[in-house]
Amino acid sequence: MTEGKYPIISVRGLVKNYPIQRTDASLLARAFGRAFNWTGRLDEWKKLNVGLPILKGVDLDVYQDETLAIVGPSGAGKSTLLHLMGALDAPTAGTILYRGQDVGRGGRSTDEYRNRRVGLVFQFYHLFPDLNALENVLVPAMVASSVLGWYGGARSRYEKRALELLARVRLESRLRHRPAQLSGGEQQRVAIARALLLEPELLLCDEPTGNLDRKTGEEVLELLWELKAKSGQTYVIVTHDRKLAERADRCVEMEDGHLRDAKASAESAPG
Amino acid sequence: MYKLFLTIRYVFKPLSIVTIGALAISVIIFTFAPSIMNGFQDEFHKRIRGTMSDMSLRSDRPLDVPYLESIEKSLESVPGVKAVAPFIEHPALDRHVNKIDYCLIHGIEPRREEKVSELRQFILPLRDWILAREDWDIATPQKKKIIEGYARVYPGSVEQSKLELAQAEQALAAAKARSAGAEEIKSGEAAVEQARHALDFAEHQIDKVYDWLENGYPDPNDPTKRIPAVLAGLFFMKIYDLDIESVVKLTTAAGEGTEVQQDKQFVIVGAFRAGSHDTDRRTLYMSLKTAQSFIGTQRVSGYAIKLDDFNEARVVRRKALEAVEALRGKTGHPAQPLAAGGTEVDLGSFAPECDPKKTGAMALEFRSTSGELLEALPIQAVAGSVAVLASAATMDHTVAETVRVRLGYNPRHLWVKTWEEQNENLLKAVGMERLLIKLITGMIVVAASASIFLVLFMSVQNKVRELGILRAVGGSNLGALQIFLGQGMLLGGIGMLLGSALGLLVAHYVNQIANFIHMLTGWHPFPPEVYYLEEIPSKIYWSELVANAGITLVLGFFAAAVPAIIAAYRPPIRAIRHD
Repeated sequence: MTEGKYPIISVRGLVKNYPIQRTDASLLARAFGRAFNWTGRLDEWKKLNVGLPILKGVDLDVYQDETLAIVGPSGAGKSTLLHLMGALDAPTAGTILYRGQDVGRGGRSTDEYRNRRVGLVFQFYHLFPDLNALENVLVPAMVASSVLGWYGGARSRYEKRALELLARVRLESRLRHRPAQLSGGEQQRVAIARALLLEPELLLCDEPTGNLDRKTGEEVLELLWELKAKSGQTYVIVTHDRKLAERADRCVEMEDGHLRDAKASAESAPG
Repeated sequence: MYKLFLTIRYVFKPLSIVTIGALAISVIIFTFAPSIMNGFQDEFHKRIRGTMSDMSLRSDRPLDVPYLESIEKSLESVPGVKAVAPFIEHPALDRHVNKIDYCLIHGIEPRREEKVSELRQFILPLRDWILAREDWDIATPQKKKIIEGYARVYPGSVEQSKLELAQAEQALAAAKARSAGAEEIKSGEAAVEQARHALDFAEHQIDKVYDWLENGYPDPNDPTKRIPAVLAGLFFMKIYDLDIESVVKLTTAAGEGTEVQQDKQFVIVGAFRAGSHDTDRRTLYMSLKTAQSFIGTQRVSGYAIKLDDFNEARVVRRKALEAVEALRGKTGHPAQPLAAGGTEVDLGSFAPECDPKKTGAMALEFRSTSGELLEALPIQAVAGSVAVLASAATMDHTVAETVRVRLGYNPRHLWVKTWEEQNENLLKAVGMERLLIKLITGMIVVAASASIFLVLFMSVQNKVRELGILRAVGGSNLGALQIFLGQGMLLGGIGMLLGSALGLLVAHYVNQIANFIHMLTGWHPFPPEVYYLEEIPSKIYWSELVANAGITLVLGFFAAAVPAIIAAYRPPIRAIRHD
């Protein structure tokens, strides 16, 4: 089904190393490493500073309107890949192109990319504890507007949209409740509404049901599919859930820092 | 928009009140504590000093400094010296009915003394004396009222009298303005007249006391006679139930072969309160002349010196001592033949710098060209400008190249010390105390700053995850930083202002607060007997306060800035995962 379509996100040669945990021992090793560096023994130093490899050269294209599931065992690097695609972290090497533009460079364009182009749904919801449900949903809109713009019309427009979204995720009666007063499923629904407020092209979901019981998880998934049917956005979902993976248009498997599914690799895609 | 919204949301939270409260308490402590310490130190210094002048020239031996104009002049000529006044300090016994006690006679020339010490400020106006002699602690409210009313009849200080005159004039003007009855206006005019008299009296009462001290107090039985007068300390008078015009009997001797003066009568013409308990309990001021004739000496204990700038004391002290030393050499004069036997010699020709009228015990020194002392002739008495030699000058005076008038003192026994050096041990103890207090105050400030640091640091640290979420939904790192720094600075600023204001209020009204505690619990937080301070002194050094506040604010800024900057410039996912 990917034939003839243009990818909205293409990942090329993505490498991500996490820094080694800084214990006293490794600090000492680093200090010695510096000393080696000064004495010309660069290799030792480099070896010490390479860190823990998570992604070892990943190529992936995500096409318009598709639902892509990324599955794989824990620690394989699924979430890391997703965070890199959401520009929440900087890659060690490789590029992530959103419609041909590099999103990993930071700065204003990256901020705008995070704000307008992608919506993020986390396993642990990550709502602002001091704000109520409605305010939480409105935060991306506030980020996108200036003070003058906000009070000059944007506020009412976005509030209307937020209320609509909250009604669609069946939270119209809990607008003024804070995250602590909501159940896990409700919090995740608020997070989904927040992710969809600015109508991003791409929704990145990091194990959206991982922290919920089965029934609630299924509800949330139903909701996601329902919303997708209406909006026609592109979904990338990281999950352990086989059932969910089967419902997706396409499924790739991540193992030990590599994408396993040959079908999903960049070579098979056109362009 | 999100910056404004989130900053407001973060500041207007119940937790912020706790943060501001914690900050304010810290600031109160470091505003209030040093001000009390400073005030206490200042006050205590003042009390120790009492009636002392900046500096004094004294001798190791009692009453051993000649009363000479040449010494005064040479001291006055030292740069940095403002005024010089001679004084006598001598012990005496005072007899009261069947009790005997010791006291310290302080002979002064009052009008010169007030140029070197704060004598005038210490003399109590009549009203203040009447109020001060009462035992207020055991007085009933009715009695207090009666005493206060009674005291008002007497003139107070010049300031009080001026105020009362202004009040009387105001009342009269008001009465005239509303065209009151003739009787009321008349009584108002009488009040103004009385207030004017009181002011006139107030302005002259201390000069009057000086006159009495110098010339004696008129004897009530025989107006032609004058009784020598003294000025007594407040506690001295209170202890022996003495009043103005009471008579004290003093006994003393000079130890220069004069007779012991027994039970000589002096009349008290005024009371003083210097603040230092010892001075107020033991010292009796009289005029220098009176003291000299009472003790039987021509000399003085020393010269009190007032400096232009006390910070220059070290330099001036050395120069003053040099000037006095130099006097000895200055009196050198070429040899003159002296007649044998009890001869009269014109002293002025021997020592032009000496005022022969003032000279006490002296000696003529005959020296060879090499400076070797050939003979020293004591001078027994002085009459006009003529010295009478005690013994025959038998030596061949042609041998002597120089004749010197030895001024009857040995400069080796003289020293010049500042009041601080005279009280060295006490001040050292106080200095030690001061150091400890500074140390403790410093620790308080450090503790307060640390708590401010911690409060702000924690308030930002707690929000790092939210900062990450904000970045994840598109907030820029600078924007996120502004929110969290803004929050820290706002809390810090409000806490600082609130704390400073409260701290200053507490420092200002500390006595009222202490009295309130005393009233509620009966416990006195600052017992006045301990240091003879009627109230808790507090002094605010603004520079110190601003420096403390500044340091704390800067520290607070860094406390908020460091974690916020670190969080804002890390990839958002790492801030989200922060705990």
